[in-house]
Amino acid sequence: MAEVAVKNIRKQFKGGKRPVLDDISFTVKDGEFVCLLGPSGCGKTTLLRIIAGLELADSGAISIGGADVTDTPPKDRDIAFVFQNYALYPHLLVRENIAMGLKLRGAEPALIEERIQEAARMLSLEELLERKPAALSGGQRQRVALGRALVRHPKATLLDEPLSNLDAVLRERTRGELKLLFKRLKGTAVYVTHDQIEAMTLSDRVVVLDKGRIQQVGTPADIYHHPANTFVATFLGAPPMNVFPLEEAHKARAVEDGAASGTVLGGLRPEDVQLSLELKDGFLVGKVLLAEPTGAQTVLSIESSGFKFRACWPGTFPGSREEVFFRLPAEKLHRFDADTGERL
Amino acid sequence: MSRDRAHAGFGPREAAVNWSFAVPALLLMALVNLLPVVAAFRYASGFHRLSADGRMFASLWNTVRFTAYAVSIETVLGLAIALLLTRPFKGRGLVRAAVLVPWALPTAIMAMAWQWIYNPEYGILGDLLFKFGLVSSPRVAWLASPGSAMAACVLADVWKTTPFMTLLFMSGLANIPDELYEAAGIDGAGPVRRFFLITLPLLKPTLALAMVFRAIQSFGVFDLVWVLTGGGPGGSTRMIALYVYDNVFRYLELGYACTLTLVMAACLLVMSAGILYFTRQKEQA
Repeated sequence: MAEVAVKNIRKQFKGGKRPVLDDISFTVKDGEFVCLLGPSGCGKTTLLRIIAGLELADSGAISIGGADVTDTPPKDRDIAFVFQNYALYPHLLVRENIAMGLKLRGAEPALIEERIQEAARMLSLEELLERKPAALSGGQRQRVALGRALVRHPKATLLDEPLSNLDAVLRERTRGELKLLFKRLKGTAVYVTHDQIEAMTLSDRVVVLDKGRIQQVGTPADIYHHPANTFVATFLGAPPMNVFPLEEAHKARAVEDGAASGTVLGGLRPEDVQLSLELKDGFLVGKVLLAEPTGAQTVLSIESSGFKFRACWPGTFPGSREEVFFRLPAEKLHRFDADTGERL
Repeated sequence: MSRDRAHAGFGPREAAVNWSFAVPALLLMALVNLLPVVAAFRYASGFHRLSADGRMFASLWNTVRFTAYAVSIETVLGLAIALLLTRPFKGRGLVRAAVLVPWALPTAIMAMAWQWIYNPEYGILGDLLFKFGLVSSPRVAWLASPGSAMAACVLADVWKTTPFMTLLFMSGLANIPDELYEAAGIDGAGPVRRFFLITLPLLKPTLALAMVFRAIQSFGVFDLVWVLTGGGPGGSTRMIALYVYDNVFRYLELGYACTLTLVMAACLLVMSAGILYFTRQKEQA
C-alpha cells in the first residue's frame, strides 16, 4: 500500500465551457481511506479516472507511492479499480474473473490459487467461485468486483460508487463490510460517492468537490461541524443546514447575536435548534408548516415572523400541534460571508 | 393474479384476439415459405440419380468452397474494418457511409462492373498487377481459367458483402461496455489480449449470427456467378443454384430440380446447425 498524491490537476473536456477539474491537489496517506464527495457532475469520477490513468489530465501530476505516474498507463500504476457497474467479464467464471489480473501479470498458478482462496474467504465468495457473473445477485457481483481488486494487493484501490447499484438495505450492510475490510487490510483507498452517509461512515478523510473545485478536505467530523463554506454546509447533513441572511433572523428576533450585517449568512444545523412544547425562557413561538416523520426523528419546517427554518424533533412530533417553541442557540451558529459563501 | 394475466393479454379471449393478429402474417409466410417446400417434396423425383450425378457433386463442392472462402474472408475483413470504424477519428461518419456503398449496389450491376475489372483486354486488375510487377503481362484472362475464375468470384463477393458483415459487427461491438476494456487494461491486458479476452468472446453471438446468415446467402449464390462466369470455365464455378437453374430451364427436368433444392436445403440445415452448435459450445466452455 502506498500514498497517492494529486497535484494541481486540471482537466477540461473538448467543447466544455469550464474545466471539470480546476487545480485539484490533495494527498491520500498510506493506508488511508479517502472519499471524493460531491453532487453529480462535480468531476469526482473524472478525478478518480485520472488517478487510475483511464483519463489524462490537461496539467498537473499524480504520484503513487512516491513515483510520478502521470504518464504511466493504468496497468503499470499498480492500482485496482472497482467500477460502478462492476465490469466483470461476463463469459468467465468468478474464479477466472478474480484471477485475471494476476494471470495477465504472469503470477505462478499456486500463488493465484492461494490469492483466490484468500479473497474468497475474505468476501464469502467460496460458494460462488464456479459461477458466472450472470448467475450472481447485485451484492455478490459487487463482492466479486472487490475480490478482483484486492487479489493483486495493489498499492491503492480506487472505487467508483461501488454501492450505488445496490438496494438500500444491501447498501448499508455492504458499507459496513467494506469499512471492516479496509480497516483490516489497512489499504489505501480512494472512494467516489455522491452519498454523504457513505462518505461520512467510511472515510478517514473526505474531499468535498463542487463544480470541479475542492471545497474542503477534512475528517468527516471536521467537515460536518466546521464546514468551510455554504456549499459544504448544505451538502452534508440530512436535513441540510439552515442557511439564512443573519439580518433576516435578527429582524424576526430569532437569533440573539450582536453582530448583524447584510453581508453575513448564518448557518444552523436543524438538530442544533432547541425545541419545546412549552414556553421556556428565551424561547420564541413558531408555526409548524410541515412535519416529516423519518422514524428516529421528525423534521419540522417552522416559520416565525416571516423567518423560515427546519429543525429536528426527536421521535414522533405530536401531530395535533400547530405551534412549537424554539430557540436558535447563538453558540451553535456558523457564520459565512454572504458574497463568497466562505466561513467567517 | 388471473386478472393481471388477463390484462397482460394472456387470457383465453385475448389469446384468440392475439392469434387473429398473427394469422395474416402466418398465412403469408406459409404461402411463400411452406408452400414451395411442400411443392418441392410433392414434385421431387429422381432421387436415385443423385448418387451417380457427378455434376451435382462437383457443383456442391464448388458451392462449399465458394462459401467457405467468401464467408471466412468476409468475417475476418469485416471484423477488422468494424474494429477500425468503432475507433474515433476525423471524418468517421463519412468513411462509415462510404464503406457501405458496395453493399447497397444491385448484385447484377456490380457483377458487370467486376467483369470489366477482370477483362483481359481493358480490365484494370491485370493492368494494376502488371504495373506492380506481380504479373508478366497485363492481359490476364482471370475468368477463363478454373482456379482464377473461382478466386475472381470470391473476390467480387467479398467486395460486395464485407460491408454487411462490418455493419453487423459494429452493432455487436457497440454492445460491449467500455468499462470491460478499461478493467482489462487495469488488469494488465494489452490491445491483443483485450481482443482475445473481451472482444472475441463477447462478439461470438454476433459472429455466429453473421456467419450463418452469410453462409446461407452464399450457398445460394446465383446472380453474381451467373453474370460473371455463367458457371464456367468448364463448370469450375458452377454453383448448386446454377445447376438447379440449368435443370429447370435448360434440361427441363423440373422434378429433379426439386430434388436438388431439397439437397441444398439439407446442406444448409446441416451447415447452420453446425455453426450454431460450434459457437454455442465454445461459449459455454
